Amino acid sequence: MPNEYKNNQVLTEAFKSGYLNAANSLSMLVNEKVLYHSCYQATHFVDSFNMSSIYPSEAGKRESRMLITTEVFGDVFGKSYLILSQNDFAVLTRNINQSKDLKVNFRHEFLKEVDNILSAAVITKLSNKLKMKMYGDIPMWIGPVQSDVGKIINSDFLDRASEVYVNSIVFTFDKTPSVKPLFIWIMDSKVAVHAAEPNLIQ
Amino acid sequence: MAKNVLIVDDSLYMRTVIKDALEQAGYRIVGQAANGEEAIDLAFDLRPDIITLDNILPDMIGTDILKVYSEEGLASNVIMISAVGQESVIQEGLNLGAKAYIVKPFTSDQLLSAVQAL
Repeated sequence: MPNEYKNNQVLTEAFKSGYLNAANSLSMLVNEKVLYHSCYQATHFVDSFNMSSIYPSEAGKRESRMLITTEVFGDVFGKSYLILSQNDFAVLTRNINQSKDLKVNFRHEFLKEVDNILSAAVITKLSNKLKMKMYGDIPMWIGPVQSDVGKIINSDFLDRASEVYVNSIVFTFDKTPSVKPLFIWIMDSKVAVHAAEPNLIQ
Repeated sequence: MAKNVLIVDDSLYMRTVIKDALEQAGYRIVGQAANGEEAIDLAFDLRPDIITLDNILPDMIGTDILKVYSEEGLASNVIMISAVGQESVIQEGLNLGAKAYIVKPFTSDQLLSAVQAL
Protein backbone atom coordinates (compact mmCIF):
# COMPACT_ATOMS: atom_id res chain seq x y z
CA MET A 1 0.00 0.00 0.00
CA PRO A 2 1.56 3.34 -0.96
CA ASN A 3 2.57 5.62 1.88
CA GLU A 4 0.50 8.48 0.52
CA TYR A 5 -2.67 6.39 0.90
CA LYS A 6 -1.71 5.23 4.39
CA ASN A 7 -0.88 8.81 5.26
CA ASN A 8 -4.35 9.91 4.18
CA GLN A 9 -5.87 7.07 6.14
CA VAL A 10 -4.11 8.13 9.34
CA LEU A 11 -5.28 11.72 8.94
CA THR A 12 -8.77 10.67 7.86
CA GLU A 13 -9.18 8.39 10.87
CA ALA A 14 -7.83 11.06 13.23
CA PHE A 15 -10.32 13.61 11.89
CA LYS A 16 -13.19 11.10 11.96
CA SER A 17 -12.50 10.42 15.60
CA GLY A 18 -12.34 14.15 16.32
CA TYR A 19 -15.58 14.90 14.47
CA LEU A 20 -17.38 12.11 16.30
CA ASN A 21 -16.17 13.59 19.58
CA ALA A 22 -17.37 17.04 18.43
CA ALA A 23 -20.79 15.71 17.32
CA ASN A 24 -21.25 14.04 20.71
CA SER A 25 -20.32 17.28 22.47
CA LEU A 26 -22.74 19.25 20.30
CA SER A 27 -25.51 16.71 21.07
CA MET A 28 -24.97 17.38 24.75
CA LEU A 29 -25.02 21.16 24.27
CA VAL A 30 -28.25 21.24 22.23
CA ASN A 31 -30.05 18.23 23.77
CA GLU A 32 -30.51 16.63 20.39
CA LYS A 33 -28.81 13.83 18.49
CA VAL A 34 -26.18 15.32 16.17
CA LEU A 35 -24.36 13.45 13.42
CA TYR A 36 -21.89 14.64 10.81
CA HIS A 37 -21.25 14.07 7.13
CA SER A 38 -17.84 14.46 5.57
CA CYS A 39 -17.72 17.03 2.78
CA TYR A 40 -14.22 17.31 1.55
CA GLN A 41 -10.57 16.55 2.19
CA ALA A 42 -7.55 17.43 0.11
CA THR A 43 -4.29 19.31 0.11
CA HIS A 44 -4.18 22.63 -1.71
CA PHE A 45 -1.81 25.45 -2.45
CA VAL A 46 -2.98 28.27 -0.22
CA ASP A 47 -4.50 30.49 -2.85
CA SER A 48 -5.99 27.74 -5.02
CA PHE A 49 -9.20 26.72 -3.32
CA ASN A 50 -12.59 28.27 -2.79
CA MET A 51 -15.90 27.39 -1.18
CA SER A 52 -17.24 25.78 -4.32
CA SER A 53 -14.66 23.03 -3.96
CA ILE A 54 -15.24 22.58 -0.23
CA TYR A 55 -19.00 22.81 -0.23
CA PRO A 56 -20.55 23.38 -3.67
CA SER A 57 -24.05 24.32 -2.49
CA GLU A 58 -22.56 27.13 -0.39
CA ALA A 59 -20.77 28.87 -3.25
CA GLY A 60 -22.27 32.05 -4.61
CA LYS A 61 -24.94 32.40 -1.93
CA ARG A 62 -25.81 35.97 -1.13
CA GLU A 63 -27.15 35.34 2.36
CA SER A 64 -24.64 36.35 5.01
CA ARG A 65 -23.07 33.69 7.20
CA MET A 66 -21.93 33.78 10.82
CA LEU A 67 -18.28 32.82 11.09
CA ILE A 68 -16.43 31.78 14.24
CA THR A 69 -12.80 30.73 14.10
CA THR A 70 -10.34 29.06 16.45
CA GLU A 71 -6.63 29.10 15.80
CA VAL A 72 -4.63 25.94 16.47
CA PHE A 73 -1.08 26.29 17.75
CA GLY A 74 1.62 23.95 19.01
CA ASP A 75 3.52 21.54 16.76
CA VAL A 76 1.45 22.60 13.74
CA PHE A 77 -0.49 25.71 12.76
CA GLY A 78 -4.12 25.44 11.73
CA LYS A 79 -7.52 27.00 12.09
CA SER A 80 -11.11 25.84 12.40
CA TYR A 81 -14.00 27.70 10.77
CA LEU A 82 -17.53 27.19 12.07
CA ILE A 83 -19.99 28.61 9.54
CA LEU A 84 -23.65 29.11 10.38
CA SER A 85 -26.51 30.21 8.18
CA GLN A 86 -29.01 32.68 9.62
CA ASN A 87 -31.37 29.76 10.19
CA ASP A 88 -28.65 27.76 11.98
CA PHE A 89 -27.96 30.79 14.18
CA ALA A 90 -31.64 31.32 15.02
CA VAL A 91 -32.33 27.67 15.85
CA LEU A 92 -29.16 27.01 17.84
CA THR A 93 -29.63 30.10 20.01
CA ARG A 94 -33.42 29.93 20.42
CA ASN A 95 -33.16 28.89 24.09
CA ILE A 96 -30.47 31.40 24.99
CA ASN A 97 -31.84 34.40 26.84
CA GLN A 98 -30.33 37.79 26.13
CA SER A 99 -28.11 39.16 28.92
CA LYS A 100 -29.36 42.00 31.13
CA ASP A 101 -26.21 43.80 30.06
CA LEU A 102 -27.22 45.10 26.64
CA LYS A 103 -23.58 45.58 25.63
CA VAL A 104 -23.16 41.79 25.68
CA ASN A 105 -24.69 39.60 23.00
CA PHE A 106 -25.29 36.41 24.95
CA ARG A 107 -26.16 34.43 21.82
CA HIS A 108 -22.77 35.26 20.34
CA GLU A 109 -21.14 34.31 23.66
CA PHE A 110 -22.94 30.97 23.60
CA LEU A 111 -21.86 30.20 20.03
CA LYS A 112 -18.27 31.18 20.77
CA GLU A 113 -18.27 28.64 23.59
CA VAL A 114 -19.86 26.05 21.28
CA ASP A 115 -17.04 26.65 18.80
CA ASN A 116 -14.48 26.42 21.60
CA ILE A 117 -15.86 23.06 22.71
CA LEU A 118 -16.20 21.64 19.17
CA SER A 119 -12.70 22.73 18.17
CA ALA A 120 -11.20 21.33 21.38
CA ALA A 121 -13.05 18.04 20.83
CA VAL A 122 -11.35 17.68 17.43
CA ILE A 123 -7.96 18.89 18.69
CA THR A 124 -8.02 16.39 21.56
CA LYS A 125 -8.37 13.45 19.17
CA LEU A 126 -5.94 14.83 16.56
CA SER A 127 -3.34 15.44 19.24
CA ASN A 128 -3.72 11.98 20.74
CA LYS A 129 -3.83 10.08 17.44
CA LEU A 130 -1.12 12.05 15.65
CA LYS A 131 1.04 12.32 18.79
CA MET A 132 1.44 16.07 18.29
CA LYS A 133 1.16 18.90 20.79
CA MET A 134 -1.85 20.93 19.67
CA TYR A 135 -3.88 23.58 21.49
CA GLY A 136 -6.86 25.70 20.52
CA ASP A 137 -6.71 29.44 21.16
CA ILE A 138 -9.76 31.31 22.39
CA PRO A 139 -12.46 31.50 19.68
CA MET A 140 -12.93 34.64 17.58
CA TRP A 141 -16.36 35.88 16.52
CA ILE A 142 -15.86 37.05 12.92
CA GLY A 143 -19.30 36.97 11.28
CA PRO A 144 -21.60 37.92 9.76
CA VAL A 145 -19.64 37.67 6.55
CA GLN A 146 -20.96 38.41 3.10
CA SER A 147 -18.02 37.48 0.96
CA ASP A 148 -16.81 34.03 0.02
CA VAL A 149 -15.38 32.47 3.18
CA GLY A 150 -12.75 30.90 0.91
CA LYS A 151 -11.21 34.36 0.47
CA ILE A 152 -10.98 34.80 4.24
CA ILE A 153 -9.34 31.39 4.58
CA ASN A 154 -6.85 32.17 1.81
CA SER A 155 -5.96 35.44 3.47
CA ASP A 156 -5.55 33.76 6.90
CA PHE A 157 -2.97 31.32 5.53
CA LEU A 158 -1.20 33.41 2.91
CA ASP A 159 1.73 34.25 5.20
CA ARG A 160 1.55 31.05 7.25
CA ALA A 161 1.92 28.17 4.80
CA SER A 162 2.40 27.49 1.12
CA GLU A 163 0.30 24.34 1.12
CA VAL A 164 -2.58 23.39 3.40
CA TYR A 165 -4.58 20.30 4.28
CA VAL A 166 -8.34 20.90 4.17
CA ASN A 167 -10.93 18.72 5.89
CA SER A 168 -14.58 19.71 6.30
CA ILE A 169 -17.90 18.34 7.51
CA VAL A 170 -21.52 19.34 7.94
CA PHE A 171 -23.25 18.68 11.25
CA THR A 172 -26.79 17.33 10.92
CA PHE A 173 -29.48 17.42 13.59
CA ASP A 174 -31.94 14.62 14.21
CA LYS A 175 -34.99 16.76 15.03
CA THR A 176 -34.15 19.89 13.06
CA PRO A 177 -32.85 18.83 9.63
CA SER A 178 -32.80 22.43 8.37
CA VAL A 179 -29.81 23.14 10.65
CA LYS A 180 -26.53 22.33 8.88
CA PRO A 181 -23.50 24.13 10.31
CA LEU A 182 -20.36 23.73 8.25
CA PHE A 183 -17.10 22.98 10.08
CA ILE A 184 -13.93 23.48 8.05
CA TRP A 185 -10.44 22.61 9.26
CA ILE A 186 -7.37 24.01 7.54
CA MET A 187 -3.97 22.81 8.70
CA ASP A 188 -0.46 23.49 7.49
CA SER A 189 0.24 20.53 5.19
CA LYS A 190 3.12 19.61 7.55
CA VAL A 191 0.41 17.69 9.41
CA ALA A 192 0.11 15.33 6.42
CA VAL A 193 3.88 14.86 6.30
CA HIS A 194 3.87 14.10 10.02
CA ALA A 195 1.01 11.63 9.62
CA ALA A 196 3.19 9.64 7.19
CA GLU A 197 5.84 8.97 9.84
CA PRO A 198 6.41 5.25 10.38
CA ASN A 199 5.42 5.28 14.05
CA LEU A 200 1.93 6.46 13.09
CA ILE A 201 1.37 4.11 10.14
CA GLN A 202 0.12 0.73 11.32
CA MET B 1 -21.66 28.22 55.95
CA ALA B 2 -21.67 28.50 52.17
CA LYS B 3 -18.31 27.89 50.52
CA ASN B 4 -16.84 30.79 48.52
CA VAL B 5 -16.05 30.22 44.86
CA LEU B 6 -13.97 32.14 42.31
CA ILE B 7 -14.84 31.34 38.68
CA VAL B 8 -12.09 31.72 36.05
CA ASP B 9 -13.14 31.43 32.41
CA ASP B 10 -12.75 33.77 29.43
CA SER B 11 -16.27 32.87 28.28
CA LEU B 12 -19.04 34.94 29.81
CA TYR B 13 -21.51 32.23 28.81
CA MET B 14 -19.53 29.54 30.66
CA ARG B 15 -19.03 31.74 33.74
CA THR B 16 -22.80 32.22 33.85
CA VAL B 17 -23.49 28.47 33.51
CA ILE B 18 -21.06 27.64 36.33
CA LYS B 19 -22.34 30.50 38.51
CA ASP B 20 -26.00 29.47 38.12
CA ALA B 21 -25.29 25.80 38.87
CA LEU B 22 -23.20 26.54 41.97
CA GLU B 23 -25.49 29.26 43.36
CA GLN B 24 -28.50 26.95 43.05
CA ALA B 25 -26.57 24.38 45.08
CA GLY B 26 -25.85 26.92 47.83
CA TYR B 27 -22.32 28.04 46.96
CA ARG B 28 -21.38 31.73 47.13
CA ILE B 29 -19.71 33.20 44.05
CA VAL B 30 -17.27 35.81 45.34
CA GLY B 31 -15.57 36.68 42.06
CA GLN B 32 -15.22 36.06 38.37
CA ALA B 33 -12.06 36.36 36.29
CA ALA B 34 -11.86 36.42 32.49
CA ASN B 35 -8.08 36.19 32.15
CA GLY B 36 -4.98 34.91 33.90
CA GLU B 37 -3.95 38.19 35.51
CA GLU B 38 -7.37 38.57 37.13
CA ALA B 39 -7.30 34.88 38.12
CA ILE B 40 -4.10 35.43 40.10
CA ASP B 41 -5.04 38.82 41.60
CA LEU B 42 -8.54 37.76 42.67
CA ALA B 43 -7.37 34.41 44.04
CA PHE B 44 -4.93 36.06 46.45
CA ASP B 45 -7.28 38.95 47.29
CA LEU B 46 -10.34 36.78 47.95
CA ARG B 47 -8.72 33.52 49.16
CA PRO B 48 -11.80 31.52 48.06
CA ASP B 49 -12.49 27.96 49.23
CA ILE B 50 -12.83 26.79 45.62
CA ILE B 51 -11.55 28.04 42.26
CA THR B 52 -12.93 26.74 38.96
CA LEU B 53 -10.15 27.28 36.43
CA ASP B 54 -10.32 27.22 32.63
CA ASN B 55 -7.13 26.08 30.89
CA ILE B 56 -6.98 28.37 27.85
CA LEU B 57 -7.22 32.06 28.73
CA PRO B 58 -6.35 35.06 26.56
CA ASP B 59 -3.10 35.79 28.38
CA MET B 60 -2.15 32.61 30.23
CA ILE B 61 -2.50 28.84 30.35
CA GLY B 62 -4.42 27.45 33.33
CA THR B 63 -1.63 25.05 34.28
CA ASP B 64 0.77 28.03 34.54
CA ILE B 65 -1.72 29.71 36.88
CA LEU B 66 -1.78 26.52 38.96
CA LYS B 67 2.02 26.75 39.27
CA VAL B 68 1.69 30.31 40.64
CA TYR B 69 -0.98 29.21 43.12
CA SER B 70 1.24 26.36 44.26
CA GLU B 71 4.46 28.40 44.51
CA GLU B 72 2.70 31.13 46.51
CA GLY B 73 1.02 28.60 48.83
CA LEU B 74 -2.60 29.36 47.97
CA ALA B 75 -4.82 27.00 49.99
CA SER B 76 -7.88 27.12 47.68
CA ASN B 77 -9.10 23.88 46.11
CA VAL B 78 -8.87 24.15 42.33
CA ILE B 79 -11.12 22.33 39.87
CA MET B 80 -10.05 22.68 36.27
CA ILE B 81 -12.95 23.02 33.80
CA SER B 82 -11.75 23.07 30.22
CA ALA B 83 -12.59 21.97 26.71
CA VAL B 84 -8.99 20.72 26.42
CA GLY B 85 -9.29 16.97 26.84
CA GLN B 86 -5.84 15.62 26.05
CA GLU B 87 -4.84 13.04 28.65
CA SER B 88 -1.38 14.64 29.02
CA VAL B 89 -2.94 18.03 29.85
CA ILE B 90 -5.42 16.52 32.32
CA GLN B 91 -2.59 14.68 34.05
CA GLU B 92 -0.46 17.83 34.15
CA GLY B 93 -3.30 19.73 35.82
CA LEU B 94 -3.81 17.03 38.42
CA ASN B 95 -0.05 16.75 39.05
CA LEU B 96 0.11 20.51 39.63
CA GLY B 97 -2.50 20.30 42.37
CA ALA B 98 -5.93 20.49 40.75
CA LYS B 99 -8.37 18.33 42.73
CA ALA B 100 -10.41 17.43 39.65
CA TYR B 101 -10.47 18.06 35.90
CA ILE B 102 -13.82 18.40 34.12
CA VAL B 103 -13.89 18.34 30.31
CA LYS B 104 -16.49 20.61 28.66
CA PRO B 105 -19.30 20.12 27.93
CA PHE B 106 -20.41 18.94 31.34
CA THR B 107 -23.66 18.52 33.25
CA SER B 108 -24.58 20.33 36.46
CA ASP B 109 -24.41 16.96 38.23
CA GLN B 110 -20.79 16.45 37.11
CA LEU B 111 -19.84 19.90 38.37
CA LEU B 112 -21.64 19.49 41.68
CA SER B 113 -20.24 16.06 42.38
CA ALA B 114 -16.72 17.45 41.81
CA VAL B 115 -17.18 20.39 44.20
CA GLN B 116 -19.01 18.29 46.79
CA ALA B 117 -16.16 15.78 46.80
CA LEU B 118 -13.70 18.42 48.03
